[in-house]
Amino acid sequence: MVRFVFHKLMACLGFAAMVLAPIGASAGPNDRIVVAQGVYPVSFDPHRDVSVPTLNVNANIYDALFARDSNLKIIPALAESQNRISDTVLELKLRKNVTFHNGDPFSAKDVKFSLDRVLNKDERSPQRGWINTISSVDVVDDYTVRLTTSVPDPVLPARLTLINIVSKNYFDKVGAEGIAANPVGTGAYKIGKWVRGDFLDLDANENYWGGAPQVKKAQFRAIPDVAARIAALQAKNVDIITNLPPDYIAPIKKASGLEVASVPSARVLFFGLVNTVPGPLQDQRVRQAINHAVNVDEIVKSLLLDNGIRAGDVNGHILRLLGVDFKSKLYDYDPKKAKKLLAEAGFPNGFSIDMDTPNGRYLMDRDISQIVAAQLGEVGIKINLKVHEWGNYSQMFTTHKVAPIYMLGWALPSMDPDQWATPLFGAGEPVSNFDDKEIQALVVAARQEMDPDKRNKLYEQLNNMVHDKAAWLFLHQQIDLYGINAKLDWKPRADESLRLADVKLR
Amino acid sequence: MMSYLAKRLLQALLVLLGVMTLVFFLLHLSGDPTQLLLPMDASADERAAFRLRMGFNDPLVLQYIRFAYDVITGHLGFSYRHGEPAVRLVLDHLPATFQLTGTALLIATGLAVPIGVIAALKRGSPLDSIAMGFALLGQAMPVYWLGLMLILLFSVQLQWLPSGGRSGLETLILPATTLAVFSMARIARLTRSGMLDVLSQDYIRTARAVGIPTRTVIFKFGLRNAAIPLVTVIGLEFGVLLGGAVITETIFAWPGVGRLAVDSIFARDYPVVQAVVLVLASIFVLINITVDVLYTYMDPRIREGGGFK
Repeated sequence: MVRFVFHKLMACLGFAAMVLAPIGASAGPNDRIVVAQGVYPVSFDPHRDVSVPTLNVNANIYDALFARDSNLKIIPALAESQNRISDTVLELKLRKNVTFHNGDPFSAKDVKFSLDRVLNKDERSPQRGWINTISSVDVVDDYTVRLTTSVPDPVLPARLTLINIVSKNYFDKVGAEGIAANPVGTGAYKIGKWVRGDFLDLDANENYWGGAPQVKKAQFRAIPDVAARIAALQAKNVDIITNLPPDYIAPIKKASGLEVASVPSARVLFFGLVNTVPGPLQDQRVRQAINHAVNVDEIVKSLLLDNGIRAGDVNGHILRLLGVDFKSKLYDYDPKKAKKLLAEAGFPNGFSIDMDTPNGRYLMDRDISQIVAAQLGEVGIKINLKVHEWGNYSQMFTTHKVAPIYMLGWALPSMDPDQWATPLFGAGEPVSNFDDKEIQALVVAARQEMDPDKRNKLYEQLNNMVHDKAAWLFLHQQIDLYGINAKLDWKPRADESLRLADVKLR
Repeated sequence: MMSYLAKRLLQALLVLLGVMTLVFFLLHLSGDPTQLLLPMDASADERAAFRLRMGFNDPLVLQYIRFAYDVITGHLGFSYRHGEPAVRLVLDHLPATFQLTGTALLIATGLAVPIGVIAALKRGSPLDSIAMGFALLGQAMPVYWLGLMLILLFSVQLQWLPSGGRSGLETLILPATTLAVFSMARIARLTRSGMLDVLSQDYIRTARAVGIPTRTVIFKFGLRNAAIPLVTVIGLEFGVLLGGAVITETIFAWPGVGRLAVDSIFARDYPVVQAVVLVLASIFVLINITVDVLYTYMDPRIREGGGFK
C-alpha cells in the first residue's frame, strides 16, 4: 500500500518537474522595455482620471495642445504657436498633417470637442477644474482655435499640457466606453494588447509628427508590492520601476546591470499650521518656534538617506525647477530660540496640541511625523499624534477637519507655481487652512499677472512672506527614485511623467 | 430533493439580500469619495458641482433604493473612477482569480490528501512527524513572506520563473504554490485525523479480518468515509481562497478580483466594491449549496435520513 502511494506521489512530483524544467528566464527582448508602476492605469479615456500612473500611460498615447520638455519648459505640441489676442483671449495655431492612430486627420474640431467635453459638467470629468477658466472654445478655421477665459489666466498653457485631445470622429463612432476600451490618439505610441489590471503593450507610432520613437515596443505593468517590484527589476523582468524606497538604493547599485536614477521632484512636504481656529498657532512666534524646534536636516539625512532637499516656502522649489534663480530662506535648528519664542508668546511651559498624519501616502510619512512629534516635545509642545488611512485623511484635509498640525505633501502635474499657491493659500479654498489677507492678496495678484517676469517676482515675495509668517512647518522637497536597467539611457523628470519617446537604448 | 433545493436557494437569496444591505451601508459610512476622485486643487464650487452630478448629495435611503434597483436589474452601476459598468470590471478580473484559486486548490488537495493518508497509516512514525511538521510549517508561514521568498529564489536567483503578471502557465506556478501551501496544511491535517478516526472503526477491522486487500480497505472503505468532512472543508476552502487571494495577487501582480476590491476600497469606488462583494458572496453561497448536494451522493445515510425529502 505504502509503495503504491509512494509511486503516485513520485509520479506527481515527476510531472511537476516536467512542467517546471523547460521554463527559462523570461527577461524582455532587447528592443522592448517594460515599465512597472505601483498601480494599473484607471482608464484610457484620457479625461477620466487625474492620477499620475494614468496620466503617465495616456501621455504616451495622446498629445495635448502643449507639452513640457525635459527641462519643464512649455513647448508646442498639437498647438504649433500661441498668440495672445487680449488678456482673456488666446489664439492657437494648430499643427497640420497630424493624424490619429486610426487615420483620422487632426483638426480644430477635435480640440473644441475635447475641451468642451472636459468642461461639460454632465460629463463629470475630474479634470474640469484644471481648465474651468475657459468660457468658450471657438473654431476660427480648420487649424485655428480661440480660447476665451472668464478672467485673465496666465496659467492656461500650463494647464493645457494636461488635457489630451481625442478624435471627435472616432468618439462619435464608438462613444466613451469605446475610447476607454480601444484608445486612439495622436501620440508617440499606439495601444497594443492590454489585460486589465495586469499589463498594457504599446507599439511605436512610426508616423509620429515628432519623429518615430527609438524604443519600438514597450509595456506598462502594475506591480503593487514594492518588494516584488524590486525583485522584478533584479530578475530583469522589468526595466524601469517607479517609487524606489531609499533603503534599496545600495543593493540596486551593487547589482550588476542595474542603476538608480533620481530627480528632485515637484512634491513638497510640510506640516500645515492651522491659524483659522483659536489656539496657540494663531501667534506667529509659536509657529516660528515650531520651525526652530525641528531638525529637518537630520530627518532628511537619517530617514530619507539624503533623498530630500530642504524647503522653506510654498513654491520656491518649483521656481527653481522652472529655471528661476531663487534662494529659499530656511529656519535653523535652534531649540533654545524656540523655547524663547514660546515664552515670549506666553507659553513658557509649552502646550498640548493634536497632530494628524497620513500613513503610507508619502515616503516615510508616519516616521517623519513621529520624529517631529518627539522633537516638538523637547521644547515643551506635547503632541497627540493620530495616524490615518489616506482615503479618510483626504476627506479631513479638504473639509477643514484636520488637527491644528497636519502633514501634507503637494505636487500637481501642471507644474505651474500657482497650483501650489492658490489651493494652499487662496481665500475659501477647500485645502487651505491658513487665513492671511496679505498672503491671499499676493496669491491673487500673481495668478492674474500676465507678464512672466513680474509674476515670478510676485511669487518670490509670496515665498518670503509665507516663510516669515511661518505658515507651515517647512520640511523638504522629495527626491524621486527609480530603479532602471543599465541598458537604458534615460533621465527621469521632475513632473513624474514617463515619456517612452525620451527613452534611448544604449 | 427539489423542495430542499428550492428552500436552500430561497435562503441563499435572503443571505445575498443581507450582504447587499450590509455592504452598502458599511461602505457609505466610510465617507465621501469626491476628494479621491477630483484633483487635490479642485475648488469648493468644483467639488459641489461634482458631488451633485454624481448623486452623492441624495439621502442615503434614496441612494440605497437606486442601488437595490440596479442589483435587481442586474447591472450594479458604473464605477466612479473607471466610468465603466462595475460588473464588467469584476467579470474581467474574475477568470484570473478562479484560475489562481482553482489551481491552488488542486495543488493543495492533490498533495495534502496523500500526505494525510500516509501520515495516518504510519501514525507515530518519523514519516508522520515529517508530514505533520510540514503541515505546521505551511500554516505558520505568512503568505506574504513565502511569496517573496519564492520570487527571490525562482525569479531573482535561479531566473526560472517570472516574478509576476499573468501571461501563461509559467506565471501561474509561483502564486498558485504560495496560495496552496496554507490550504495544503489544513487539508493534510484533516485528512490525517479523518483517516485515523475511520481506520479505528469496527468495519475496517472486519474488512481486514475477512481478507479484503489492504488497498481496497484503505481507499474504498477508509478514504471514502474520511472524505465526507473533507469535501465540506475543501468547498469552504475554495471560498476562503477566493477572498484570501488578495495578498498573493498583490505580491505576484496577479490581476484578480481581490486586488480590484482592495484598490476600489482605497479609492472609495463604491459600485465596484459592492459588485465584488455581491459576486463573491453569490459564488460562496453556490459552493455551499453544491457541497451539500454532493453530500447526498457520497453519504447515503443523509439521503435516506430524510435530509433531502
